[in-house]
Amino acid sequence: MIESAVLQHWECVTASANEVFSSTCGVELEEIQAEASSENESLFLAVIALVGDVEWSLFLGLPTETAVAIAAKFAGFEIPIDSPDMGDAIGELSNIFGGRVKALLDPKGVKVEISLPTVMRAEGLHMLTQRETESCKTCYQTPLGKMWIGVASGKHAGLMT
Amino acid sequence: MEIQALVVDDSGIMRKLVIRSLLESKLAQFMFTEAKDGADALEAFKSNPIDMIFVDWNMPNMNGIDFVKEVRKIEKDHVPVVMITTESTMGKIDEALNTAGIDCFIVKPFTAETLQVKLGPLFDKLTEPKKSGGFFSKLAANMS
Repeated sequence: MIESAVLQHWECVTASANEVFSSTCGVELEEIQAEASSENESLFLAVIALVGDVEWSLFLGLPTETAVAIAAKFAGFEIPIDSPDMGDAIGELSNIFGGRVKALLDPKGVKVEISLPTVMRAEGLHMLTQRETESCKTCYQTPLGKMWIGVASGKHAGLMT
Repeated sequence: MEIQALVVDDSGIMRKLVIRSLLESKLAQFMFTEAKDGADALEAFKSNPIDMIFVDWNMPNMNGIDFVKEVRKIEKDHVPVVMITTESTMGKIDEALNTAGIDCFIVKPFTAETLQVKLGPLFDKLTEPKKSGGFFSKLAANMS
């Protein structure tokens, strides 16, 4: 059975997350078992598309408390939750995360371009897989709170729809 | 002497981080003009005396590479350009340095120490007397 591209290169995603959050925010990530966020848990969700030899939607999910703490660590100053700077900070972190995934895929012969990030606020994080898509996600505990990273992939041309 | 620096990034947070890191690096005394994308930056470049540019790659409206190519068409003397970006593959670095004429390439994330290490040699090279035109030659002349 051919291993899917997501599973085959998942370590690039986890390695990127560990490197990026350590270098930008000084936090170490501890992987924990958590299938989904609590119902109605408010969170920030950043999505970046990686398109090329793979077609991935890469996401970063941060519960509100984690987002506020991580954004402050990254920026070096407190950011009000409703400020445009909050989306900017989360977007830039996800941009750096996506860039590092791209860099780690490159020596494996997997060439991609990355999109600009899209940042949303949501309640509850549930990965709804569809036919012909593969996905993988994991949850981390950090000193600043919980967070998720994940990838959804489309087998056909174009992104997950 | 002050360096008039143009900082270009679609993230306001990142522009603040670049400015803060440059100030902490103490490489020079900087005064800053900010722009949110390549098109905005091109207008700022045409309207203000700019000695040095710090620019992101991936931005809406006009990306960093296209902006630098436009700068190279209209500059009177060579303006040093430092690209600060998430791009880090050899192909992209080669494109920036050899095709677009970027002088220095820094991968995000970075610290003030990173800037000191990466920009130090650039400042040394640019202040060698008679080796470059424009602002840095004047800086070298003032220092000697």
